[in-house]
Amino acid sequence: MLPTSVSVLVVDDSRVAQKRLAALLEEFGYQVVGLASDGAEAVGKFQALRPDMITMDITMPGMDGIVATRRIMEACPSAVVVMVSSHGQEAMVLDALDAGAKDYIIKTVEKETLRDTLQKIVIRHILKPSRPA
Amino acid sequence: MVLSKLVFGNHHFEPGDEYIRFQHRFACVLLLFSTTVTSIFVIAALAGAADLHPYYLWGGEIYCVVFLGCYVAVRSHPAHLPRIMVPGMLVSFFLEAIAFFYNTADELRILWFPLSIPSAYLLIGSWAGNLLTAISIGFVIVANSYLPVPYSPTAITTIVTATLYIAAVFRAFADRSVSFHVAMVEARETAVIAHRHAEQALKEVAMLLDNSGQGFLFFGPDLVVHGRYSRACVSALGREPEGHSVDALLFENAPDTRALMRRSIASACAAWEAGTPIRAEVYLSLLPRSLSIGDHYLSAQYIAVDGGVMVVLSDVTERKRLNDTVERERHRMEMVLAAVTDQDDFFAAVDDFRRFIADGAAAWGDRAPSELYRAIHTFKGTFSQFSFERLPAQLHEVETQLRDLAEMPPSTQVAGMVFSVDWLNLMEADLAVITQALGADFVERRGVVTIDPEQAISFERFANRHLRAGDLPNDEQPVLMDLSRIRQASLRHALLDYERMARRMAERLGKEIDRFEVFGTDIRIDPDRFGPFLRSLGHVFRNAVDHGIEAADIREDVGKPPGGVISCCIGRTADGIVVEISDDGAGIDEAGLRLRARDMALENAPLADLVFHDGLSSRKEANPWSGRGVGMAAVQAAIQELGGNIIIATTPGQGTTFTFRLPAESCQVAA
Repeated sequence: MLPTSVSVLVVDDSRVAQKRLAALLEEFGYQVVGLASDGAEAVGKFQALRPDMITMDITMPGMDGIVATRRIMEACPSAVVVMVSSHGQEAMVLDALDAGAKDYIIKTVEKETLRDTLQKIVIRHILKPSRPA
Repeated sequence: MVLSKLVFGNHHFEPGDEYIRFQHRFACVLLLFSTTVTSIFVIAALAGAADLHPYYLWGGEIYCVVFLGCYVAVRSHPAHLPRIMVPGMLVSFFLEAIAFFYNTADELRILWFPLSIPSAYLLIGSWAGNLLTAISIGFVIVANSYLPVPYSPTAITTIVTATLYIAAVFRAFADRSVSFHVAMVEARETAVIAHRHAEQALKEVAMLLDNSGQGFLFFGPDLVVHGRYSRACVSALGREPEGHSVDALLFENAPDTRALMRRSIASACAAWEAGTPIRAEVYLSLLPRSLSIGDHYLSAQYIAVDGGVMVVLSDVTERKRLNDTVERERHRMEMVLAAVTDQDDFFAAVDDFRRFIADGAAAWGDRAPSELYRAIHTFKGTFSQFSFERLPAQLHEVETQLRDLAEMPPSTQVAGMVFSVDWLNLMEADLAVITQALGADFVERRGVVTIDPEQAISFERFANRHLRAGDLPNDEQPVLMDLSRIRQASLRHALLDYERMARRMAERLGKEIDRFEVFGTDIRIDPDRFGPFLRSLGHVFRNAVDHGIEAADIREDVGKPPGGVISCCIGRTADGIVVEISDDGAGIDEAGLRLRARDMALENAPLADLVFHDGLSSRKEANPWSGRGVGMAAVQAAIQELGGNIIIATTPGQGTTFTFRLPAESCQVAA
């Protein structure tokens, strides 16, 4: 099953990380519909673009990923927010999950693992939206 | 307790025989009590204190004897109770009949008949109760007419009705009691069988889990481990886990991880309860999957289940140790290999770092921390490429600290922090791997295993003498051949030695090399004569990678495969040897080069002269590996020394070929 036509908003304060993840997502077949560099921009772009999925960096200047996730969930509880984390950020991921994020990915994993994780998330939350989680 | 044993005897009743036990005790008490009361009357009468009819007195005596006998029998043989009680029933009816005739009328003697019916039903059985009821009613009706003062028909009707009523109640009661008792015994048996099956099943599951070699344990939202776990848990955790908190068992000395665990378990359990198992899985996936306890390494899997979380532990200590050993050994081999095959770069890096250490903090007092950061970063990259074990990790740590200070103004404090590490010791410890593998003097000698030239010449003479004379055994021939050419080197190998350097450099520059090939028949050369030339070829390869081959994306834009190709070709001509080195890169910007050469009045010189001219470079910026022109001038000097020449052919977008022609002297085709 290919994640064709799953639209994604990529949120990361680092331009390099943004581009890198966006390129990978496009390679996997996702449609990257927008980029945002901080929480406030992410909330704004989410409202405007209504993407199927948002990849959300956790630590960002200004409004961080956790607060932004909470804002997005308030506006749209069915939004699929996926945290982008690194090893050692587990406690923050927990906060984000409590704030309503659906799942998380780890920046440093191998490409294949990332592809599989994202596919799992798409199957669980986007292709079967009736299932609560 | 003693009294109870005295009265009821010392019997053991199986579970399920509670009703029989009740009958036994009831019979004992009844028999003893009746005997005692009747005895008192009999003794009183005998002593003259009571006035009893002689028949009634005899009846009482017989009654006491039979009842006492029944009691003794019942007390010792509870199993025969119903049979033993039959004479008791008969004798008591007999005494009632006597009392009916020989007692005074106002004693309400008739009441005895219905009063003895319940014990017949309860102790002997329904048939005895029915029989006693029939006999009693018949007897009362018939015997009444023989009494001197008979009861009125109304009184008889009342007593018969009362007797029937008592009989009906106790018959129903006794029957129910028995059937309840039977049902209870059956239920009990079923329960025992079920229990046995369950125990067996549990034992089998425990056996499977115990022998799986994995640790299984279960805990609820309170994190306290339950009593059922597999045996492997004990060896993996070093203690019986029951009743302990799982976070303390797994991560005793890591408070952060314990806090994380408490939170994610609580959230996972809540998610499971809320009917969202997927979310529970996400929470559990945050927990560390590998951990160490004592000297054991474990891998852990967490699975949300009803009422809590189960953990599956596997002991991976052996596997990890093996992996670590293999990894360390591989690392050491790589380092040794790098030291042998890339001696120049390897020892240049070591020397650079030694200089860096020797200069120390003083050299950085007035330079920006960002420069120091870059220097550390470069060293880290270099040493990790050469597979140093300790140095890269320490450099990485310092680099991380410096990253946050990079924007600060120059300060001796920052540099002091960097040089407070005992770098020299770390490097020596890493280099010890090489000394161990290649001998103590390898590092000192910069990797070259030397024999002095006179020794080499005398080896050659020795070998040639014996080859000519043929006086040594045949299996020594290959050694002699090698010895006779000890001072000669393989041109093919000399070229192939550059592959690693080229690939490593390409990697640093973010480029790709698909193939590095050497064609043609190998030629043996005298390293003394050809050494400088071979060494200078490094500049040619560096230029090919740096200026020739383009980055993968650029190559793809112009329709080339992403990886470049470097090919060398060795050939012999009538008057010497030819070495060609080509790349399939961008070519040399000949026009640009000629434009800049105009200032030196060189614009019409052959391309080679321009390329090799000191200070000319087709690219403006230089980097540490190539592009300063100085290197290429060294190539030309070396070839001129050998009496050869160079021709450069370049096609923009297609690549560049360097052709070196060398005279034949001291070249010899390899055997």
